[in-house]
Amino acid sequence: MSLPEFLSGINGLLGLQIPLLVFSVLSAVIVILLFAMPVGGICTYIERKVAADMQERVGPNRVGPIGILQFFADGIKMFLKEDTIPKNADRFLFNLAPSLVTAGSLGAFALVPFSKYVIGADLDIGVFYVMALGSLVSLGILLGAWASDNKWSLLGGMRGAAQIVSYEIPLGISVLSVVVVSGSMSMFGIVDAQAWPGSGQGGGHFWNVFHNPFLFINFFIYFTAALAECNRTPFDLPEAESELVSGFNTEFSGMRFGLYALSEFADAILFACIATAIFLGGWNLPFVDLSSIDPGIKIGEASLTPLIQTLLMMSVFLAKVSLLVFIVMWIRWTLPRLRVDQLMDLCWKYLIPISFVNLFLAAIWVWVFDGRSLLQLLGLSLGIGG
Amino acid sequence: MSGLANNLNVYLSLAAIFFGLGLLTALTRKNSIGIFMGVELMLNGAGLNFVAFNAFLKDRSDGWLHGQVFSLFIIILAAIEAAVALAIVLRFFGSKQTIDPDVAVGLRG
Amino acid sequence: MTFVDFFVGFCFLLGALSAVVVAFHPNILYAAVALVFSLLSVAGLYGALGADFLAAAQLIIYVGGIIVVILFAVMMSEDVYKNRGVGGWKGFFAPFIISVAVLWALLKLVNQANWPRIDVPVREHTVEAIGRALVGPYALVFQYVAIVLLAGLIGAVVIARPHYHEKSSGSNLE
Repeated sequence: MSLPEFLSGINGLLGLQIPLLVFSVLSAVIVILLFAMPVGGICTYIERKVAADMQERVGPNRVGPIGILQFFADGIKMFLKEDTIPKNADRFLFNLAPSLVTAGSLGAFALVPFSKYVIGADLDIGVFYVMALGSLVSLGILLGAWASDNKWSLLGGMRGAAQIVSYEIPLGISVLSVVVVSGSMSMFGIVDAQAWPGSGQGGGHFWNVFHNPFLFINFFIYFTAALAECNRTPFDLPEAESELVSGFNTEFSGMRFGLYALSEFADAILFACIATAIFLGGWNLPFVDLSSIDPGIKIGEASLTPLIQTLLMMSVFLAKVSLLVFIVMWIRWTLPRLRVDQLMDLCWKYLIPISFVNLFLAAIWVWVFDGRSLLQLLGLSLGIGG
Repeated sequence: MSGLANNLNVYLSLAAIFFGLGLLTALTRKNSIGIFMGVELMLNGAGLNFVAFNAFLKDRSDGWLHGQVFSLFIIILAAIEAAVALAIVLRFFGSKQTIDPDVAVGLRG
Repeated sequence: MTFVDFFVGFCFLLGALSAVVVAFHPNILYAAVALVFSLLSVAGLYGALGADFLAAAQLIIYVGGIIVVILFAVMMSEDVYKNRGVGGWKGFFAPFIISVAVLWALLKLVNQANWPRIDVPVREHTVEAIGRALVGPYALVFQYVAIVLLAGLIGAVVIARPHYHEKSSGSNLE
């Protein structure tokens, strides 16, 4: 699907014209209220619980059973807090920055293929578009930091932007190696090519992580760079509380701070989703093909098969995503923060050269073995599947 | 007239506006970075022209993407230009403590 | 008026307005932010014209790269921010006349010319076609651009890096 097709698809779907503007604004608000806010909120709760477990504490336990409603209380607090703007702040940019950050991280969710039938927009340029939207985040961080008129904010913002711009390169290169293997940039196409080899007609080459040794290494490069992209420990220098108070969001309070916090979690989830889709096979499992499961349950005329398949695929996808998010939290409470020079060394001296070499070798692998994965080659030599 | 999206003049007019205002920016700013931004604006106008003409191209006998490829090259060259120009600006600021291009007259005989 | 029409109109207005801000706003930082929006509107129009690959490239290179570098340069040197950028009327008058003349001529040309064109633009899948064009008819240009890019990057590093023979005040080399 190309972008104009998608746009006219929206048009055809609704058959509306100018009211569409009202509709899209409303639906954006609804998506944010109904999806992003609770997910972000639940993430803060889980993060606190995980942190407590790591440190042998109890964690939030007052609001609701085992503190499960804590995020609700936090959200209300966020709404009701006094919304302050520093006297010398640049008001226009101060208001603009959080929205840019949020737009960058939420806009990319349209491209996440949750299941074979649940994907907002399957664009031709899927992964490329996701990376492009990510660039709005660094812009928002930099502008917000400048607008705050606070030296800690500015230092944090500078660090954040430099870090995101640098780590976008290994991130992009490792994504590119997946594109080389899959021969497609559409998220759906990439996931669909990762089916279990033997099953069904055609079959795929199984998860891209195990496609060849070079992609295996590139997965870890992607994961490291993604951690840096969403400012998570050990790369949380932009908001290092022991050096910079709270970094680029020092001066933000109330709902604006809420947007920053939300987009940080949304970023973490987004990168976990992308990693799942392009490296870990999305909804694909070993040995079974979920799209061939047919329990044959019907309600009247309508078959429930697509619904059941969708639910299975989504739960597989979300299970992988939550595993990755858990690992991100685990890393946060285990590793110390890097120094700035170590951060840049890691990116420019190690990640970028290694990912380039891997990209090159992965391309050679595709050329030599005609795009077959390690598993398919093994299957061929043993005379099964393939 | 078949809607704004299929009207070539919309795209060309915006490209012309970009070019004119970019020229104005580049000529009037007393600030190297401002001049640089004007140049970026003009380059974008040119790129938009290429893509617009490409989309409405009538004779498609030998491929139909030349405009888009040219626009892609413009974007790439703009990136190189940004790197070099801003390096020069920072270097100039380091030695003169200003980025007013009128001060850069060291080569005048 | 379909959604694409609305989208194109919105991008046109956004682009024109923000280009005006880029040209006339005295604060260079606001001009840079306005430049972001004009680049975004160009990306939107690329999308509407069916050049989705270019739209994403525009976003990732301009907004993610060039603008961030410009903002860095603006924020790193105090003079840049204090330098209001626009001189008095003396330095403004002649360029203004020239630019308005160019703009007028271009707009007149756009509105009067009768281009050999088709009525509805072709909006097809471009990614594969661009890829094939880059390794086919444009392979040599592509390689050339790669070399220029490498040379430009090395040049930028050489220019920007501190010269060791200069008596710099010591510890700021890190």
